Amino acid sequence: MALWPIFTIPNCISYVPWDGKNYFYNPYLRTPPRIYQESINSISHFYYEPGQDRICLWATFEICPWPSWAVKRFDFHAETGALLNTASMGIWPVAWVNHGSLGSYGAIYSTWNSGYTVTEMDASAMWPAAGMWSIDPSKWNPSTIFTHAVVNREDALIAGVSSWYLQIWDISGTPTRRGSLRLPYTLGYLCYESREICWIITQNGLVGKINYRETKPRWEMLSSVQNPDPSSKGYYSAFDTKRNRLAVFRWLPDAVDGACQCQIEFYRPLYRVAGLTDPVPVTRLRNGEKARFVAHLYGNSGEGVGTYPLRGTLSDPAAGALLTPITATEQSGAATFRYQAPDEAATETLNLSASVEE
Amino acid sequence: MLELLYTSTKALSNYPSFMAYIKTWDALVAFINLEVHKVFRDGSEAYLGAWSYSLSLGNRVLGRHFYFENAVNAWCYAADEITGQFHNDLILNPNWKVPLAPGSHLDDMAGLFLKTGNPITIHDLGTGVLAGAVSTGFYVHNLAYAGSGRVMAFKHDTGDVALVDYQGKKVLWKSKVRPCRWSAYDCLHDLVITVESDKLVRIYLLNPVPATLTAPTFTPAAQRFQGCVVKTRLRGAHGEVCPGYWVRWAITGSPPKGALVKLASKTDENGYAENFYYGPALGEEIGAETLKVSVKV
Repeated sequence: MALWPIFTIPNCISYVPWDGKNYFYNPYLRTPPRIYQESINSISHFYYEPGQDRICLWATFEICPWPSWAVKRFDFHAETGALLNTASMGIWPVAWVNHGSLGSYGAIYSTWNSGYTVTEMDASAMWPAAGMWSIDPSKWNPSTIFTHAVVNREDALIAGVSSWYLQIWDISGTPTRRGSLRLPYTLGYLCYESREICWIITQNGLVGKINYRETKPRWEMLSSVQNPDPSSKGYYSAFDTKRNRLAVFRWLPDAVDGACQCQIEFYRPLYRVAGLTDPVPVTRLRNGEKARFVAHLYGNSGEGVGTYPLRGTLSDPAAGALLTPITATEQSGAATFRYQAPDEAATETLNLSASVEE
Repeated sequence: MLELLYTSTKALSNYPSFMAYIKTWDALVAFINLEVHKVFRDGSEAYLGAWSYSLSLGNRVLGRHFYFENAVNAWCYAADEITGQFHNDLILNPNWKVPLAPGSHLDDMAGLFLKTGNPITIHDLGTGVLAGAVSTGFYVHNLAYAGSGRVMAFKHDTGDVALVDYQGKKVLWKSKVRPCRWSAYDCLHDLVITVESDKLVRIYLLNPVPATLTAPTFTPAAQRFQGCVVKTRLRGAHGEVCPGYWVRWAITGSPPKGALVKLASKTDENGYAENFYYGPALGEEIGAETLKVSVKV
């Protein structure tokens, strides 16, 4: 399995142009060729909120006017990715709270910068209301601190990230660690899909699907965003549980004139073909004998793409014969072609193709 | 020398510091520039993530790989077959820390650990007790899984290769490939895979390239009016047997003295090709005769 890009909303955020006033703060923002008076400084939360069917992004800005910073919550339409609303927010939901994500019962949960708990949050204020659910992993044995967490209260499980590891804890009684998985790269964001599945996106754009409910957690897929960009400043993911698709916020550096270039990309977890290898012989090549050639159909991260038919042809004039001109790929993406060599020495060209439906 | 079957046209981004064939991928996991990559036979490459600096790598039974912690005596961690990363929860040697030796082979089904070196030492995975040793005659850098109870041993700077039966504790055969940076064994198709300093992937058949054909021997000795079995043996440059090659037979005398049953026969698994020779019949000329054997490669 891989990720199929559905559509992208480029420049999903627009900065406020400089209004010409001689502000004291962050003068670089309005220094030509830059023409805006704000720029994203950090991103704290990115989550799908099923109650209002929206995707929320919380960002801290450097701005020219007093007090030099601003916090904004951007609400995007989950279906179209269009910007619905921009709200100015206080500093505490980003200074103290950290990495909100959807979890059980359609609620938003978050870890904290200022503490160790994982807490249910009001989805709009990103702050806990009185009586909301909370748990403190620092009191577990061993004491644990999560930077990101997915909460599954129905099954009493928490999947949290600490450094390079995703840890799964059973919180039905005395919290016990069920297992962990090593991440392929430093984490960008962790998000919830269901009572079984969560997703990670790394800081360099690798995307992983994890079954965290199994007794031992396991990877189900490793892929990547389309065209991962080394200049990107970060990737954040949220899973739209209504449409079964992944939304990725790609934080890109500002343009030369200071314009925001960030974009939201939508992916569906489907087979996605990225390449077809050359056919390589795996048996000896002899006059008059049959030989086998293997090629692989693969996705963005080299994952095998199974059950696609590959078609093989020999370039004219063909001296031998292709015995299996159509072969389906296996789970590993491998497809084997059998070839009958002619009795005399010859040079042949084996051409392969796959028909991929868009 | 093993027969070179294929050289990739695509070069890897760099040569690997470790590489192993992963059977479920039908491809290679390669550690390049401190990153985990998936490498296909044609040199196509996919990035899978970062490699933990604190770990080294070895080969595991059934065409997998595992991670050593970088310690003199090390835990071995199972590797994940989706990401190629290690499972820090799955320790394969919970009872005994193995000596760190990258490229070693871990057979957790038979409970054995094979340490690279000269000789290859075989340890009980449960206790660490030395269970035996096999000498290939060269220092082994890599021990890749090559079927039940067997590993392919490689010395990279010289290209020495040996198939080792570690249950029977013996070397089955030895040969060579070109000197390389790292090696692997495709246990699905029985192929040796190497990457050299030019970063190209090379694939070798297990068939050695034939180099010598012995003089035919007659059993019993050739005589008038009698038939006898005549054999020749095909070997590679390093004494490896060469099975599956067609040997052509010819009597060079004119007129020929005696007759052969077959014009060509195939070498068996020990490299022998066999024919049947009838000595001169009544009325035919007798005397010295020359039998010519040749093989087409």
